[in-house]
Amino acid sequence: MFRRMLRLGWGRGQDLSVRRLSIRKRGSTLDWNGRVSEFKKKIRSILPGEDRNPLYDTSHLPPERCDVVIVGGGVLGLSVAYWLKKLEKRQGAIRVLVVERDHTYSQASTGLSVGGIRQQFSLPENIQLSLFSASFLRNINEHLAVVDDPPLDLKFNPLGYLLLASEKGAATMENNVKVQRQEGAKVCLMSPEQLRNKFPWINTEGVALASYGMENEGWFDPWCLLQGLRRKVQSMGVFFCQGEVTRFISSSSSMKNTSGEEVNLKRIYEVHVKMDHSLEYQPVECALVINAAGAWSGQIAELAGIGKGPLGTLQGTKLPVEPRKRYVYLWHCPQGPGLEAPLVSDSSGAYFRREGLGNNYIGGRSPTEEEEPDPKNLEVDHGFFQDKVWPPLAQRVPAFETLKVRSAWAGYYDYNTFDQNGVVGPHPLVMNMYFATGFSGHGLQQAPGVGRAVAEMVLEGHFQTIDLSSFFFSRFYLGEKIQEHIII
Amino acid sequence: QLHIHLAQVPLPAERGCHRHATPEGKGPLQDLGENPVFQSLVLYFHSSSLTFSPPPRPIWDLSSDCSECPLVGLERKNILGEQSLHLVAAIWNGSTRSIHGLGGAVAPEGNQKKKTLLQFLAGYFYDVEYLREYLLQNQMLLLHKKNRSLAHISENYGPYITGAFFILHLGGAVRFQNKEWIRLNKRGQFPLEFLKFQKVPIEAVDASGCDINYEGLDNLLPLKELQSLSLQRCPYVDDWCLNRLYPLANSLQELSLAGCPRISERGLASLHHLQNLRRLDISDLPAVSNPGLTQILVEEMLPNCKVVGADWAQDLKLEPEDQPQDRANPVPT
Ligand SMILES: Cc1cc2nc3c(=O)[nH]c(=O)nc-3n(C[C@H](O)[C@H](O)[C@H](O)COP(=O)(O)OP(=O)(O)OC[C@H]3O[C@@H](n4cnc5c(N)ncnc54)[C@H](O)[C@@H]3O)c2cc1C
Repeated sequence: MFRRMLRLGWGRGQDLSVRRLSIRKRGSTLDWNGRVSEFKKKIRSILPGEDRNPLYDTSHLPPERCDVVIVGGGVLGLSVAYWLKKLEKRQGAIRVLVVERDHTYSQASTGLSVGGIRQQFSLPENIQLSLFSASFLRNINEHLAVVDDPPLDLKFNPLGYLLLASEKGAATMENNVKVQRQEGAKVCLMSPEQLRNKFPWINTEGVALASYGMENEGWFDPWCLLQGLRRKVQSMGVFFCQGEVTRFISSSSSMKNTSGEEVNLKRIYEVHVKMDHSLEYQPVECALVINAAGAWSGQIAELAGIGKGPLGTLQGTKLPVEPRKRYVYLWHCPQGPGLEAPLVSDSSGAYFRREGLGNNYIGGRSPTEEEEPDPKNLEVDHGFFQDKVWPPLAQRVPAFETLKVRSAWAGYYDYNTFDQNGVVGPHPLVMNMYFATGFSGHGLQQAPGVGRAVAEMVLEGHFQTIDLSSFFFSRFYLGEKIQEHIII
Repeated sequence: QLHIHLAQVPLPAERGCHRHATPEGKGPLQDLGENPVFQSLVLYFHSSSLTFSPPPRPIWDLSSDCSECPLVGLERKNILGEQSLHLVAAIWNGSTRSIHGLGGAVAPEGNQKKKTLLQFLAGYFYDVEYLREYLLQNQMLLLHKKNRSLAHISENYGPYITGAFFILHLGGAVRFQNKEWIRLNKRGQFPLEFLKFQKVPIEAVDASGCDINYEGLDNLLPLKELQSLSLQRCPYVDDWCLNRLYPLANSLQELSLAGCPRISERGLASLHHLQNLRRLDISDLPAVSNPGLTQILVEEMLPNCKVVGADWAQDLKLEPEDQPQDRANPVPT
């Protein structure tokens, strides 16, 4: 009621006092009660004699209508929201809703990641995305500045990635570095001799070649990026809602393509958001859905009917993104590498980096397909460290022969089983579902660039900054792999 | 039923709707209140930030660090009377220097939980908030402009003249090989003599207190003979910048980072590329969390280098907050 009065007041320009005293609200819903009473007081002061209180707490419900619904409030979802608001033609032109089922992000990959950023990829698209992200992160306090909030401290450690290759991998590494340099990344190649001189703590046995990132590589605090994005998009007027997307209502129309085959085009027009800890749900009408549910985006795609069809057809092609459990171990080693240690990724696949100044290190290793642990829960297998991670690391850095594991955690890679690469852009059949997922262990660092690409796709209909058309969904149907070789 | 619908919209909707309500084609400033003081204040800011040109300021004069702020002009104009003037000046310091961390250091004014006029108004009017965002963006734009790459000069005059021009322009000083230090003269004019030194390498740069940032380093990195670089109290030099110094590794022997508010131990770690360094000054870095330990680790990392660091006593102080924090303010030399 009150809102309607406000609207009327605005529309006709009658009630100027109301218009000027529009109250700014922002921030979490935690201190809602305090704010409600404050708000009530203000209403009372504006509208003397008004003794009803037209507002009660429905803040947990999402709005009934939105232009864009983003499923998943991780770093990718928030980045899409940010760029949609940033690139919209007129302020407030599109209404964006971010649906996140867990505001503590206890299982989200973003918070559980290692926070690395590197340009050492084999695909030009990934390198470009990473360079874009580096410049975004460098100027993060310009992009994500919010009036009156303190600046963000990204805690970026500019120490580079050091990738080691055995004789077998040396040629590939050389080719990759060539591509990386062409794209403008500052990466240098090192011989074992140079490696020994620079990092005397490395045992170069079995190493034929190393590549080392000189600029824009290292690691940062993923929470800072996540919270910074959240704060910013909130200040830009994006709606947040804690709930789970459980259902899509879509209309479909069947058409014939040029070769006479029948295709079923779908359009989602309503998203059902189930509220946390209750059976209540709210339908949200929307024009577009963005699937940024990270490791769970395969399920979201299935909800929209993607992959439900005869095998071998476009309708029957699943989104091949699934959760894969990855362990990260934190250990202490008094004689370990010093301040200059980069993130080292051994030819065996094991990696480590320094964590803080107290001779602590974190690291892990991607298991092989056969060793792949059950992704049902996030329990840590300490045996995996003993058997698979420690031996290669201790061989590479002899100081690690004596170390003490302090703690460990596990998180989910949003793993694309098809070619370990991201999926970006609209689905060819469910026309208004856009993807921003599947980055298999480098989604965090690519988020700023991917968010922009998706927003451009939504707003302009094509990519403008970085051409990601090779990341389209259709490649799964066509069987065209665009393999990323450097997956850590 | 209707009732629920209207109330269902969560918090940020208040903002969204307000924006929707702004008539199209009108700037946010047009639905201002009728309060004449407020109006003139905002309009003044608006006009001054639209045609944002810093008042002429002698570049060497580092003491008046606020002279680029358009509000100083306001003070001179004296349109608002004593009291509000005071308020406004405080806002400027508070908002640009500490709230947004543009200056990097946490200014003491920002720490006191005193609400300044603009902050207060921004709590009620989106327009003021937009305005402040706008002012902030303008300031950043100016910084980028100052630090843009001077490739066109470099093409005609070579790297040394370009580097010298860039540093002099920012208010620093350079020394060509076997020559005297050159800086702007008292009237802010360029000493033209340096144009003769096209072939003479630069061996020392003193950029103390300059607004140099990551992009600006583009103009310094081609100085392959640079032996001594001072970036003392540079408000915009951060860890990303330190990561970029490695092209100077062959020549650089002396580096001073004292008093840079944005440099932390993470950036210092990336100095390991500079193996020819003989002297490194890392004293007074407020963002380094553990100055004593950091110094030891840096010494280990650069064994041939004398590291001038924090006073040992600094670690033992009871209240580290008491250290002077406003390092961004250049001290007059
Ligand atoms: C151990 C580990 C180390 C990593 N290291 C790096 C690294 O060094 N560098 C790097 O760039 N990347 C790294 N990553 C990968 C990176 O973390 C992910 O690619 C990235 O965080 C993906 O972001 P996201 O927003 O897509 O996913 P998430 O952060 O997982 O966000 C998805 C969100 O969607 C929500 N959601 C899911 N389903 C629903 C639903 N039905 N309704 C509502 N909400 C839903 C979830 O609650 C979740 O919060 C690492 C990952 C792991 C596990």
